[in-house]
Amino acid sequence: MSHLDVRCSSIALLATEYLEDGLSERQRTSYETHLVYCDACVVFLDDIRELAARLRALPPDPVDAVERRAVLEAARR
Amino acid sequence: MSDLVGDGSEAAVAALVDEHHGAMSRFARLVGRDQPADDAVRRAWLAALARPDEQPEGTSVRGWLLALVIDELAPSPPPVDPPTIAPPADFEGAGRWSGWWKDELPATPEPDPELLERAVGSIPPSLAAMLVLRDVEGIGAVETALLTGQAPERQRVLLHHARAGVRTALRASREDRS
Repeated sequence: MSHLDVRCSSIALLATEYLEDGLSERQRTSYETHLVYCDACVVFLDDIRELAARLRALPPDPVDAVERRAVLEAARR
Repeated sequence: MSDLVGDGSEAAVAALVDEHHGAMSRFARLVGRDQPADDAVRRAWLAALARPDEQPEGTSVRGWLLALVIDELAPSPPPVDPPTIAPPADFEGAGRWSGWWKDELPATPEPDPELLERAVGSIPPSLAAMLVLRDVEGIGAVETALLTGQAPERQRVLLHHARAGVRTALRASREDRS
């Protein structure tokens, strides 16, 4: 994929590729040029970026005492 | 992991459980859906503690434990119809501006954790697994490839469909409430 389709639907499709450095230098330039004049795509990209950050902040489940004991007992056998 | 288990003392195992059990439970709950999460997590612990020296090189303890939870959950088929990147109605369908956003896009409001988890639960399990490994746990692309066998390029595709599916679910839930 060397040529980048610069319609919004394609820009949105490639948001994670862009954020994870999966685009070639030329594609990246086309992508960022689109962002200069398309506020909606900037909003979409920010949504995806912020979603990843919010997911990272999700707390783990509390450790259930019964389950903890069950694992420790099983490990003892 | 064999270094951490050491001689198998209860203190060493308890420290491991305290560090990782909550994340394993969350993973099993978000990915396994209606399967009993506790059973899968317990079996994953037994597998890990029985052969701690089999942790693949290049993987973290957390990553390996989550991969063992995947092994214990019933396999989920690849999504037949992965979420679209955005509702098709958001884009112009025909004419000169086909494929461009129809309107200005309002930013998705910040969801509380419960709403966010519900949105993760709405996407296909195999996409949720990739999302939790990469975004929730922060496991890198190279390690995820070792754990799941998915090449980084394929991971990015799955991850993007997962993120977009969660975003769409969050927007839909906001519209339902308004």
